[in-house]
Amino acid sequence: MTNKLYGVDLHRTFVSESGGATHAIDNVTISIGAHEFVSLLGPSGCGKTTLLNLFAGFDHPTAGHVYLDGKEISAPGPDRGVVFQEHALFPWLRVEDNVGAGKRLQARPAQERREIVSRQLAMVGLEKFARHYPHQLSGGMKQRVSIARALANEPEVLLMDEPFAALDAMTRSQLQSELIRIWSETRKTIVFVTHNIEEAVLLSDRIAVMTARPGRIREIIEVDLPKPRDPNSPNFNAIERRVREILWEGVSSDLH
Amino acid sequence: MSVIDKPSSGTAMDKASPGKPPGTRFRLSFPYFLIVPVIAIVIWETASRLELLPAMLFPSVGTIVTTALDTLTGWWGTADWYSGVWYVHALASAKRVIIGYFLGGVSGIVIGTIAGMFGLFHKMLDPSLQLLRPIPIVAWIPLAIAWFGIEDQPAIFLIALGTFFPTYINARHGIRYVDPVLIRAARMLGYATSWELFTRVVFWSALPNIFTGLRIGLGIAWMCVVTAEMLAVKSGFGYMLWDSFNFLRADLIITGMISIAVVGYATDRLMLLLQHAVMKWER
Repeated sequence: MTNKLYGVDLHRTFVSESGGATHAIDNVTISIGAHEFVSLLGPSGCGKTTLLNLFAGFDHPTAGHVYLDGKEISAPGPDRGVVFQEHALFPWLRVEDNVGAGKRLQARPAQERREIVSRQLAMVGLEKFARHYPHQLSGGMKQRVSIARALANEPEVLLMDEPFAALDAMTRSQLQSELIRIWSETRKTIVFVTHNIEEAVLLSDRIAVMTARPGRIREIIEVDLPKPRDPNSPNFNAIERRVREILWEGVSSDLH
Repeated sequence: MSVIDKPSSGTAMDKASPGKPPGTRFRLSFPYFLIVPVIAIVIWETASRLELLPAMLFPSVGTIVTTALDTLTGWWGTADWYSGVWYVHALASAKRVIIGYFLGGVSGIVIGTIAGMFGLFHKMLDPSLQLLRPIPIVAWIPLAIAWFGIEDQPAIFLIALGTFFPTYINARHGIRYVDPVLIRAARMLGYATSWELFTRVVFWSALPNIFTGLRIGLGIAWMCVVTAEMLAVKSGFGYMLWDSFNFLRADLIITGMISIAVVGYATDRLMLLLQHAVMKWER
Protein backbone atom coordinates (compact mmCIF):
# COMPACT_ATOMS: atom_id res chain seq x y z
CA MET A 1 0.00 0.00 0.00
CA THR A 2 1.44 3.32 -1.08
CA ASN A 3 1.14 6.37 1.12
CA LYS A 4 -1.22 8.93 -0.27
CA LEU A 5 -1.41 11.21 2.72
CA TYR A 6 1.23 11.20 5.37
CA GLY A 7 1.46 13.27 8.55
CA VAL A 8 4.51 12.87 10.71
CA ASP A 9 5.21 14.06 14.28
CA LEU A 10 2.40 16.58 14.01
CA HIS A 11 1.81 19.15 16.68
CA ARG A 12 -0.67 22.00 16.57
CA THR A 13 -0.79 24.35 19.50
CA PHE A 14 -3.22 27.23 19.77
CA VAL A 15 -2.17 30.08 22.02
CA SER A 16 -5.02 32.12 23.46
CA GLU A 17 -4.82 35.86 24.05
CA SER A 18 -4.27 35.27 27.75
CA GLY A 19 -1.24 33.19 26.86
CA GLY A 20 -2.70 29.76 27.64
CA ALA A 21 -1.68 27.01 25.20
CA THR A 22 -4.03 24.32 23.92
CA HIS A 23 -2.43 21.28 22.38
CA ALA A 24 -5.08 20.51 19.78
CA ILE A 25 -2.80 17.92 18.25
CA ASP A 26 0.08 16.41 20.13
CA ASN A 27 2.53 14.11 18.43
CA VAL A 28 0.34 12.55 15.76
CA THR A 29 1.74 10.38 13.00
CA ILE A 30 -0.65 8.91 10.46
CA SER A 31 -0.36 7.50 6.98
CA ILE A 32 -3.27 6.95 4.66
CA GLY A 33 -2.97 4.69 1.63
CA ALA A 34 -4.25 5.32 -1.86
CA HIS A 35 -7.95 4.36 -2.30
CA GLU A 36 -8.28 3.98 1.44
CA PHE A 37 -11.23 5.21 3.48
CA VAL A 38 -9.98 6.40 6.88
CA SER A 39 -12.12 7.96 9.61
CA LEU A 40 -10.85 10.28 12.30
CA LEU A 41 -13.11 9.48 15.22
CA GLY A 42 -13.24 11.09 18.61
CA PRO A 43 -15.07 13.39 21.03
CA SER A 44 -15.21 17.10 20.38
CA GLY A 45 -11.92 18.79 21.18
CA CYS A 46 -9.82 15.77 20.22
CA GLY A 47 -8.27 17.61 17.30
CA LYS A 48 -9.84 15.57 14.50
CA THR A 49 -10.93 18.63 12.55
CA THR A 50 -7.59 20.29 13.23
CA LEU A 51 -5.86 17.25 11.74
CA LEU A 52 -8.13 17.38 8.69
CA ASN A 53 -7.40 21.08 8.26
CA LEU A 54 -3.69 20.31 8.22
CA PHE A 55 -4.27 17.87 5.36
CA ALA A 56 -6.49 20.42 3.61
CA GLY A 57 -3.83 23.11 4.03
CA PHE A 58 -6.21 25.50 5.80
CA ASP A 59 -3.95 25.33 8.84
CA HIS A 60 -0.27 24.66 9.43
CA PRO A 61 1.33 22.37 12.01
CA THR A 62 3.25 24.02 14.84
CA ALA A 63 5.74 21.20 14.36
CA GLY A 64 5.89 18.22 12.00
CA HIS A 65 5.03 17.81 8.33
CA VAL A 66 2.11 16.75 6.14
CA TYR A 67 2.62 15.23 2.72
CA LEU A 68 0.46 14.37 -0.26
CA ASP A 69 2.14 11.89 -2.62
CA GLY A 70 5.46 12.71 -1.00
CA LYS A 71 5.10 16.45 -1.57
CA GLU A 72 4.80 18.67 1.48
CA ILE A 73 1.41 20.36 1.90
CA SER A 74 1.65 24.11 2.51
CA ALA A 75 -1.66 25.51 1.22
CA PRO A 76 -5.10 24.38 0.10
CA GLY A 77 -5.25 23.07 -3.44
CA PRO A 78 -7.45 21.38 -6.00
CA ASP A 79 -5.72 18.03 -5.40
CA ARG A 80 -7.59 17.84 -2.07
CA GLY A 81 -11.36 18.23 -2.33
CA VAL A 82 -13.08 19.23 0.89
CA VAL A 83 -16.67 18.64 1.99
CA PHE A 84 -17.57 20.89 4.91
CA GLN A 85 -20.02 20.27 7.71
CA GLU A 86 -22.04 23.28 6.56
CA HIS A 87 -22.34 22.59 2.84
CA ALA A 88 -20.43 25.82 1.98
CA LEU A 89 -22.04 26.07 -1.45
CA PHE A 90 -21.93 29.44 -3.22
CA PRO A 91 -25.47 30.76 -2.82
CA TRP A 92 -25.23 32.92 -5.96
CA LEU A 93 -24.47 29.99 -8.26
CA ARG A 94 -26.94 27.46 -9.57
CA VAL A 95 -26.34 23.84 -8.60
CA GLU A 96 -24.66 23.10 -11.95
CA ASP A 97 -22.38 26.14 -11.61
CA ASN A 98 -21.47 25.19 -8.06
CA VAL A 99 -20.46 21.73 -9.24
CA GLY A 100 -18.52 23.27 -12.13
CA ALA A 101 -16.87 25.97 -9.99
CA GLY A 102 -13.51 24.23 -9.54
CA LYS A 103 -10.52 25.91 -11.13
CA ARG A 104 -9.46 22.76 -12.95
CA LEU A 105 -12.93 22.48 -14.46
CA GLN A 106 -13.08 26.13 -15.41
CA ALA A 107 -9.90 25.64 -17.40
CA ARG A 108 -11.57 22.99 -19.56
CA PRO A 109 -13.67 23.61 -22.69
CA ALA A 110 -17.31 24.41 -21.84
CA GLN A 111 -18.69 21.28 -23.50
CA GLU A 112 -16.37 19.01 -21.57
CA ARG A 113 -17.16 20.84 -18.34
CA ARG A 114 -20.89 20.39 -18.89
CA GLU A 115 -20.40 16.66 -19.38
CA ILE A 116 -18.38 16.30 -16.19
CA VAL A 117 -20.91 18.35 -14.24
CA SER A 118 -23.87 16.29 -15.42
CA ARG A 119 -21.98 13.06 -14.74
CA GLN A 120 -21.25 14.21 -11.18
CA LEU A 121 -24.83 15.37 -10.65
CA ALA A 122 -26.08 12.00 -11.89
CA MET A 123 -23.74 10.27 -9.45
CA VAL A 124 -25.41 12.05 -6.51
CA GLY A 125 -28.87 11.75 -8.11
CA LEU A 126 -29.52 15.44 -8.64
CA GLU A 127 -29.61 15.79 -12.44
CA LYS A 128 -33.07 17.32 -12.23
CA PHE A 129 -31.92 20.03 -9.85
CA ALA A 130 -29.11 21.44 -11.98
CA ARG A 131 -30.87 24.78 -12.48
CA HIS A 132 -31.85 25.26 -8.84
CA TYR A 133 -30.11 27.57 -6.42
CA PRO A 134 -28.75 26.10 -3.17
CA HIS A 135 -31.40 27.76 -0.98
CA GLN A 136 -34.05 25.81 -2.89
CA LEU A 137 -32.57 22.49 -1.76
CA SER A 138 -32.92 20.52 1.46
CA GLY A 139 -29.94 19.98 3.75
CA GLY A 140 -29.24 16.50 2.40
CA MET A 141 -29.38 17.68 -1.20
CA LYS A 142 -27.00 20.54 -0.47
CA GLN A 143 -24.52 18.08 0.97
CA ARG A 144 -24.81 15.91 -2.15
CA VAL A 145 -24.06 18.94 -4.31
CA SER A 146 -21.11 19.69 -2.07
CA ILE A 147 -19.75 16.17 -2.62
CA ALA A 148 -20.32 16.47 -6.37
CA ARG A 149 -18.52 19.83 -6.42
CA ALA A 150 -15.50 18.41 -4.65
CA LEU A 151 -15.32 15.32 -6.91
CA ALA A 152 -15.93 17.23 -10.16
CA ASN A 153 -12.68 19.13 -9.68
CA GLU A 154 -10.89 15.74 -9.84
CA PRO A 155 -9.01 15.78 -6.55
CA GLU A 156 -6.53 13.11 -5.46
CA VAL A 157 -8.20 12.79 -2.09
CA LEU A 158 -11.52 13.75 -0.55
CA LEU A 159 -11.47 15.31 2.92
CA MET A 160 -14.81 15.28 4.70
CA ASP A 161 -15.38 17.22 7.93
CA GLU A 162 -18.41 15.74 9.72
CA PRO A 163 -20.38 16.13 6.49
CA PHE A 164 -23.53 14.41 7.76
CA ALA A 165 -23.55 15.65 11.35
CA ALA A 166 -26.18 18.32 10.75
CA LEU A 167 -28.58 16.01 8.90
CA ASP A 168 -31.49 14.06 10.34
CA ALA A 169 -31.05 10.32 10.88
CA MET A 170 -32.89 9.19 7.74
CA THR A 171 -31.03 11.50 5.40
CA ARG A 172 -27.76 10.67 7.10
CA SER A 173 -28.08 6.94 6.57
CA GLN A 174 -29.15 7.53 2.97
CA LEU A 175 -26.07 9.65 2.32
CA GLN A 176 -23.84 7.13 4.08
CA SER A 177 -24.88 4.38 1.69
CA GLU A 178 -24.41 6.72 -1.26
CA LEU A 179 -20.95 7.60 -0.04
CA ILE A 180 -20.04 3.91 0.09
CA ARG A 181 -21.27 3.52 -3.47
CA ILE A 182 -19.41 6.64 -4.64
CA TRP A 183 -16.25 5.47 -2.92
CA SER A 184 -16.40 2.05 -4.57
CA GLU A 185 -17.08 3.65 -7.97
CA THR A 186 -14.38 6.32 -7.81
CA ARG A 187 -11.85 4.60 -5.54
CA LYS A 188 -10.92 8.00 -4.12
CA THR A 189 -8.83 8.22 -1.00
CA ILE A 190 -11.20 9.57 1.65
CA VAL A 191 -10.46 11.04 5.08
CA PHE A 192 -13.67 11.32 7.05
CA VAL A 193 -14.05 13.18 10.33
CA THR A 194 -16.86 12.04 12.62
CA HIS A 195 -17.85 11.65 16.26
CA ASN A 196 -20.35 8.93 15.41
CA ILE A 197 -19.00 5.42 16.14
CA GLU A 198 -21.53 3.58 13.99
CA GLU A 199 -20.85 5.90 11.07
CA ALA A 200 -17.11 5.31 11.34
CA VAL A 201 -17.49 1.51 11.46
CA LEU A 202 -19.98 1.57 8.61
CA LEU A 203 -17.77 3.52 6.22
CA SER A 204 -14.11 3.06 7.04
CA ASP A 205 -11.31 0.69 6.13
CA ARG A 206 -9.48 2.00 9.16
CA ILE A 207 -10.54 4.16 12.09
CA ALA A 208 -8.11 6.44 13.87
CA VAL A 209 -9.60 6.68 17.36
CA MET A 210 -8.57 9.98 18.92
CA THR A 211 -8.64 11.28 22.49
CA ALA A 212 -8.75 14.85 23.73
CA ARG A 213 -6.44 17.11 25.73
CA PRO A 214 -3.94 16.62 24.27
CA GLY A 215 -5.33 15.46 20.92
CA ARG A 216 -3.72 12.14 20.12
CA ILE A 217 -4.42 9.04 18.09
CA ARG A 218 -5.03 6.39 20.70
CA GLU A 219 -5.36 3.46 18.37
CA ILE A 220 -5.92 2.67 14.73
CA ILE A 221 -8.51 -0.03 14.14
CA GLU A 222 -8.85 -2.01 10.94
CA VAL A 223 -12.41 -2.72 9.92
CA ASP A 224 -12.06 -5.89 7.94
CA LEU A 225 -15.68 -6.32 6.84
CA PRO A 226 -16.96 -6.27 3.24
CA LYS A 227 -18.92 -3.18 2.17
CA PRO A 228 -21.77 -2.42 2.26
CA ARG A 229 -21.95 -3.48 5.88
CA ASP A 230 -24.82 -4.59 8.06
CA PRO A 231 -24.88 -2.56 11.31
CA ASN A 232 -26.79 -5.40 12.99
CA SER A 233 -24.26 -8.14 12.30
CA PRO A 234 -22.28 -9.55 15.27
CA ASN A 235 -18.94 -8.65 13.68
CA PHE A 236 -20.05 -5.06 13.19
CA ASN A 237 -21.20 -4.84 16.79
CA ALA A 238 -17.97 -6.33 18.06
CA ILE A 239 -15.95 -3.62 16.32
CA GLU A 240 -18.31 -0.91 17.54
CA ARG A 241 -17.88 -2.22 21.09
CA ARG A 242 -14.12 -2.17 20.81
CA VAL A 243 -14.07 1.38 19.51
CA ARG A 244 -16.37 2.46 22.31
CA GLU A 245 -14.12 0.86 24.91
CA ILE A 246 -11.08 2.68 23.55
CA LEU A 247 -12.97 5.97 23.58
CA TRP A 248 -14.15 5.36 27.17
CA GLU A 249 -10.65 4.51 28.31
CA GLY A 250 -9.59 7.83 26.88
CA VAL A 251 -12.33 9.69 28.69
CA SER A 252 -11.82 7.95 32.04
CA SER A 253 -8.06 8.41 31.94
CA ASP A 254 -8.91 12.09 31.40
CA LEU A 255 -10.79 12.12 34.69
CA HIS A 256 -7.95 10.69 36.75
CA MET B 1 -27.42 27.49 9.01
CA SER B 2 -30.29 26.64 6.76
CA VAL B 3 -29.50 23.01 7.36
CA ILE B 4 -30.47 23.48 10.98
CA ASP B 5 -33.36 25.75 10.07
CA LYS B 6 -35.05 22.93 8.20
CA PRO B 7 -35.30 19.97 10.56
CA SER B 8 -37.90 18.39 8.27
CA SER B 9 -35.63 18.41 5.24
CA GLY B 10 -35.82 14.65 5.63
CA THR B 11 -35.63 12.38 2.66
CA ALA B 12 -34.59 15.20 0.44
CA MET B 13 -35.71 14.22 -3.01
CA ASP B 14 -39.45 14.68 -2.64
CA LYS B 15 -39.28 18.09 -0.98
CA ALA B 16 -38.15 20.53 -3.64
CA SER B 17 -39.80 20.01 -6.97
CA PRO B 18 -37.61 19.03 -9.89
CA GLY B 19 -37.74 20.81 -13.23
CA LYS B 20 -38.49 24.50 -13.17
CA PRO B 21 -37.25 26.43 -10.16
CA PRO B 22 -40.17 28.03 -8.36
CA GLY B 23 -41.00 31.49 -9.65
CA THR B 24 -43.16 34.34 -8.41
CA ARG B 25 -46.92 34.30 -8.84
CA PHE B 26 -49.36 37.17 -8.90
CA ARG B 27 -52.19 36.85 -6.48
CA LEU B 28 -55.10 39.25 -6.06
CA SER B 29 -55.84 40.14 -2.48
CA PHE B 30 -57.70 42.84 -0.61
CA PRO B 31 -55.76 46.13 -0.97
CA TYR B 32 -54.95 46.52 2.72
CA PHE B 33 -52.41 49.20 1.94
CA LEU B 34 -55.23 51.61 1.01
CA ILE B 35 -56.86 51.60 4.45
CA VAL B 36 -54.42 53.98 6.12
CA PRO B 37 -54.35 56.57 3.28
CA VAL B 38 -58.15 56.62 3.09
CA ILE B 39 -58.45 57.22 6.84
CA ALA B 40 -55.79 59.95 6.63
CA ILE B 41 -57.61 61.69 3.77
CA VAL B 42 -60.90 61.59 5.64
CA ILE B 43 -59.34 63.09 8.77
CA TRP B 44 -57.58 65.75 6.70
CA GLU B 45 -60.76 66.73 4.86
CA THR B 46 -62.71 66.91 8.10
CA ALA B 47 -60.07 69.09 9.72
CA SER B 48 -60.01 71.32 6.67
CA ARG B 49 -63.79 71.84 6.74
CA LEU B 50 -63.68 72.75 10.42
CA GLU B 51 -61.64 75.80 9.25
CA LEU B 52 -59.40 75.90 12.29
CA LEU B 53 -56.83 77.50 10.03
CA PRO B 54 -57.29 79.67 6.94
CA ALA B 55 -57.92 77.59 3.83
CA MET B 56 -54.66 78.82 2.33
CA LEU B 57 -52.69 77.22 5.16
CA PHE B 58 -54.89 74.12 5.50
CA PRO B 59 -56.39 73.49 2.07
CA SER B 60 -59.02 70.87 1.32
CA VAL B 61 -58.13 67.59 -0.30
CA GLY B 62 -59.82 68.76 -3.50
CA THR B 63 -57.70 71.91 -3.67
CA ILE B 64 -54.50 69.93 -3.17
CA VAL B 65 -55.41 67.39 -5.84
CA THR B 66 -56.37 70.13 -8.31
CA THR B 67 -53.15 72.07 -7.65
CA ALA B 68 -51.04 68.93 -7.90
CA LEU B 69 -52.64 67.95 -11.21
CA ASP B 70 -52.32 71.52 -12.45
CA THR B 71 -48.58 71.55 -11.82
CA LEU B 72 -48.46 68.50 -14.06
CA THR B 73 -50.89 69.55 -16.79
CA GLY B 74 -51.40 73.32 -16.62
CA TRP B 75 -55.11 72.85 -17.32
CA TRP B 76 -56.66 75.07 -14.64
CA GLY B 77 -53.89 77.47 -13.74
CA THR B 78 -54.65 77.02 -10.02
CA ALA B 79 -50.97 76.36 -9.34
CA ASP B 80 -50.23 79.83 -10.73
CA TRP B 81 -46.52 80.17 -11.55
CA TYR B 82 -46.07 76.44 -11.03
CA SER B 83 -48.82 75.58 -13.49
CA GLY B 84 -47.65 72.89 -15.90
CA VAL B 85 -43.99 73.11 -14.93
CA TRP B 86 -43.79 70.10 -12.62
CA TYR B 87 -41.47 68.22 -14.96
CA VAL B 88 -39.01 71.16 -15.09
CA HIS B 89 -38.47 70.92 -11.35
CA ALA B 90 -38.58 67.15 -11.35
CA LEU B 91 -35.85 67.01 -13.99
CA ALA B 92 -33.76 69.63 -12.15
CA SER B 93 -33.89 67.60 -8.93
CA ALA B 94 -33.43 64.28 -10.72
CA LYS B 95 -30.37 65.52 -12.61
CA ARG B 96 -28.66 66.55 -9.37
CA VAL B 97 -29.62 63.34 -7.64
CA ILE B 98 -28.40 61.16 -10.50
CA ILE B 99 -25.01 62.87 -10.75
CA GLY B 100 -24.44 63.21 -7.00
CA TYR B 101 -25.71 59.73 -6.26
CA PHE B 102 -23.51 58.22 -8.93
CA LEU B 103 -20.40 60.01 -7.63
CA GLY B 104 -21.13 59.22 -3.97
CA GLY B 105 -22.28 55.66 -4.63
CA VAL B 106 -19.34 54.67 -6.82
CA SER B 107 -16.76 56.18 -4.48
CA GLY B 108 -18.52 54.64 -1.48
CA ILE B 109 -18.45 51.17 -3.04
CA VAL B 110 -14.86 51.48 -4.28
CA ILE B 111 -13.42 52.88 -1.05
CA GLY B 112 -15.57 50.55 1.05
CA THR B 113 -14.32 47.58 -0.96
CA ILE B 114 -10.68 48.59 -0.58
CA ALA B 115 -11.21 49.15 3.16
CA GLY B 116 -12.86 45.75 3.43
CA MET B 117 -10.03 44.00 1.62
CA PHE B 118 -7.09 45.77 3.26
CA GLY B 119 -7.21 46.14 7.02
CA LEU B 120 -4.37 48.66 7.12
CA PHE B 121 -6.18 50.98 4.70
CA HIS B 122 -9.28 50.71 6.87
CA LYS B 123 -7.29 51.49 10.02
CA MET B 124 -5.85 54.58 8.40
CA LEU B 125 -9.02 55.92 6.84
CA ASP B 126 -12.00 54.83 8.89
CA PRO B 127 -11.50 56.91 12.07
CA SER B 128 -11.36 60.12 10.03
CA LEU B 129 -14.47 59.19 8.06
CA GLN B 130 -16.34 58.27 11.24
CA LEU B 131 -15.45 61.70 12.62
CA LEU B 132 -16.94 63.41 9.55
CA ARG B 133 -20.04 61.24 9.49
CA PRO B 134 -21.90 62.79 12.46
CA ILE B 135 -21.79 66.23 10.78
CA PRO B 136 -25.31 66.68 9.42
CA ILE B 137 -25.46 67.30 5.70
CA VAL B 138 -27.18 70.63 6.41
CA ALA B 139 -24.07 71.76 8.25
CA TRP B 140 -22.08 71.40 5.05
CA ILE B 141 -24.31 73.85 3.16
CA PRO B 142 -22.46 77.10 3.98
CA LEU B 143 -19.15 75.58 2.95
CA ALA B 144 -20.69 73.97 -0.13
CA ILE B 145 -22.07 77.33 -1.28
CA ALA B 146 -18.81 79.09 -0.43
CA TRP B 147 -16.84 76.61 -2.49
CA PHE B 148 -19.18 75.83 -5.36
CA GLY B 149 -21.42 78.90 -5.53
CA ILE B 150 -25.11 78.78 -6.36
CA GLU B 151 -26.67 76.22 -8.76
CA ASP B 152 -26.01 72.55 -9.35
CA GLN B 153 -22.53 72.00 -7.93
CA PRO B 154 -23.21 72.57 -4.20
CA ALA B 155 -26.30 70.35 -4.44
CA ILE B 156 -24.35 67.61 -6.20
CA PHE B 157 -21.60 67.89 -3.61
CA LEU B 158 -24.05 67.46 -0.74
CA ILE B 159 -25.81 64.53 -2.40
CA ALA B 160 -22.52 62.78 -3.13
CA LEU B 161 -21.43 63.31 0.46
CA GLY B 162 -24.73 62.04 1.85
CA THR B 163 -24.69 58.99 -0.41
CA PHE B 164 -21.07 58.16 0.27
CA PHE B 165 -21.31 57.23 3.95
CA PRO B 166 -23.98 54.51 3.87
CA THR B 167 -22.59 52.93 0.71
CA TYR B 168 -19.06 52.99 2.12
CA ILE B 169 -20.04 51.48 5.47
CA ASN B 170 -22.22 48.74 3.99
CA ALA B 171 -19.82 47.80 1.21
CA ARG B 172 -16.94 47.60 3.66
CA HIS B 173 -18.98 45.47 6.03
CA GLY B 174 -20.09 43.07 3.30
CA ILE B 175 -16.58 42.67 1.96
CA ARG B 176 -14.98 42.29 5.38
CA TYR B 177 -17.39 39.76 6.85
CA VAL B 178 -17.55 37.17 4.11
CA ASP B 179 -18.34 33.73 5.49
CA PRO B 180 -14.82 32.25 5.94
CA VAL B 181 -16.02 28.77 4.97
CA LEU B 182 -16.85 30.08 1.49
CA ILE B 183 -13.29 31.37 1.17
CA ARG B 184 -12.03 27.95 2.22
CA ALA B 185 -14.30 26.29 -0.33
CA ALA B 186 -12.89 28.51 -3.09
CA ARG B 187 -9.32 27.81 -1.97
CA MET B 188 -9.80 24.05 -1.99
CA LEU B 189 -11.26 24.40 -5.49
CA GLY B 190 -7.93 25.86 -6.59
CA TYR B 191 -8.37 29.62 -6.26
CA ALA B 192 -5.41 31.14 -4.49
CA THR B 193 -4.81 34.82 -5.29
CA SER B 194 -6.68 37.65 -3.59
CA TRP B 195 -8.03 38.75 -6.95
CA GLU B 196 -9.44 35.27 -7.69
CA LEU B 197 -11.01 35.06 -4.26
CA PHE B 198 -12.44 38.55 -4.67
CA THR B 199 -14.04 37.91 -8.06
CA ARG B 200 -15.21 34.38 -7.22
CA VAL B 201 -16.48 34.83 -3.68
CA VAL B 202 -16.00 38.10 -1.83
CA PHE B 203 -17.73 40.41 -4.31
CA TRP B 204 -20.77 38.17 -4.75
CA SER B 205 -21.20 37.52 -1.11
CA ALA B 206 -20.98 41.27 -0.37
CA LEU B 207 -23.60 42.19 -2.99
CA PRO B 208 -26.59 42.11 -0.60
CA ASN B 209 -24.81 44.55 1.71
CA ILE B 210 -23.74 46.74 -1.21
CA PHE B 211 -27.35 47.00 -2.33
CA THR B 212 -28.49 47.79 1.21
CA GLY B 213 -26.01 50.68 1.23
CA LEU B 214 -27.19 51.85 -2.17
CA ARG B 215 -30.83 51.88 -1.10
CA ILE B 216 -30.14 53.78 2.13
CA GLY B 217 -27.97 56.14 0.10
CA LEU B 218 -30.77 56.77 -2.37
CA GLY B 219 -33.12 57.90 0.39
CA ILE B 220 -30.44 60.20 1.75
CA ALA B 221 -29.77 61.55 -1.75
CA TRP B 222 -33.36 62.79 -2.00
CA MET B 223 -33.13 64.33 1.47
CA CYS B 224 -29.96 66.10 0.42
CA VAL B 225 -31.28 67.45 -2.85
CA VAL B 226 -34.30 69.01 -1.15
CA THR B 227 -32.12 70.54 1.55
CA ALA B 228 -29.70 71.95 -0.98
CA GLU B 229 -32.43 73.31 -3.22
CA MET B 230 -34.06 75.16 -0.35
CA LEU B 231 -30.94 77.25 0.09
CA ALA B 232 -28.55 77.05 -2.81
CA VAL B 233 -30.58 76.70 -6.00
CA LYS B 234 -33.52 78.24 -7.84
CA SER B 235 -35.13 75.08 -9.21
CA GLY B 236 -36.19 71.62 -8.11
CA PHE B 237 -38.68 70.32 -5.55
CA GLY B 238 -36.77 71.80 -2.61
CA TYR B 239 -36.89 75.25 -4.17
CA MET B 240 -40.57 74.76 -4.95
CA LEU B 241 -41.28 74.00 -1.28
CA TRP B 242 -39.45 77.00 0.08
CA ASP B 243 -40.72 79.36 -2.62
CA SER B 244 -44.31 78.25 -1.94
CA PHE B 245 -43.78 78.79 1.76
CA ASN B 246 -42.75 82.40 1.04
CA PHE B 247 -46.15 82.87 -0.58
CA LEU B 248 -47.93 80.85 2.13
CA ARG B 249 -49.28 78.42 -0.49
CA ALA B 250 -49.83 75.23 1.51
CA ASP B 251 -51.39 73.48 -1.51
CA LEU B 252 -48.12 73.99 -3.42
CA ILE B 253 -45.99 73.02 -0.43
CA ILE B 254 -47.93 69.78 -0.09
CA THR B 255 -47.73 69.19 -3.85
CA GLY B 256 -43.95 69.51 -3.57
CA MET B 257 -43.86 67.12 -0.63
CA ILE B 258 -46.01 64.54 -2.41
CA SER B 259 -43.79 64.88 -5.49
CA ILE B 260 -40.68 64.08 -3.44
CA ALA B 261 -42.44 61.10 -1.88
CA VAL B 262 -43.59 59.72 -5.23
CA VAL B 263 -40.29 60.21 -7.02
CA GLY B 264 -38.29 58.91 -4.04
CA TYR B 265 -40.51 55.85 -3.80
CA ALA B 266 -40.29 55.23 -7.55
CA THR B 267 -36.50 55.38 -7.60
CA ASP B 268 -36.31 53.05 -4.60
CA ARG B 269 -38.50 50.54 -6.47
CA LEU B 270 -36.23 50.86 -9.49
CA MET B 271 -33.23 50.12 -7.30
CA LEU B 272 -35.06 47.10 -5.90
CA LEU B 273 -35.77 45.87 -9.44
CA LEU B 274 -32.10 46.27 -10.28
CA GLN B 275 -31.18 44.36 -7.12
CA HIS B 276 -33.49 41.48 -8.04
CA ALA B 277 -32.14 41.45 -11.60
CA VAL B 278 -28.55 41.25 -10.38
CA MET B 279 -29.10 38.96 -7.39
CA LYS B 280 -31.15 36.30 -9.16
CA TRP B 281 -30.36 33.75 -6.47
CA GLU B 282 -32.42 35.55 -3.84
CA ARG B 283 -36.17 35.47 -4.05
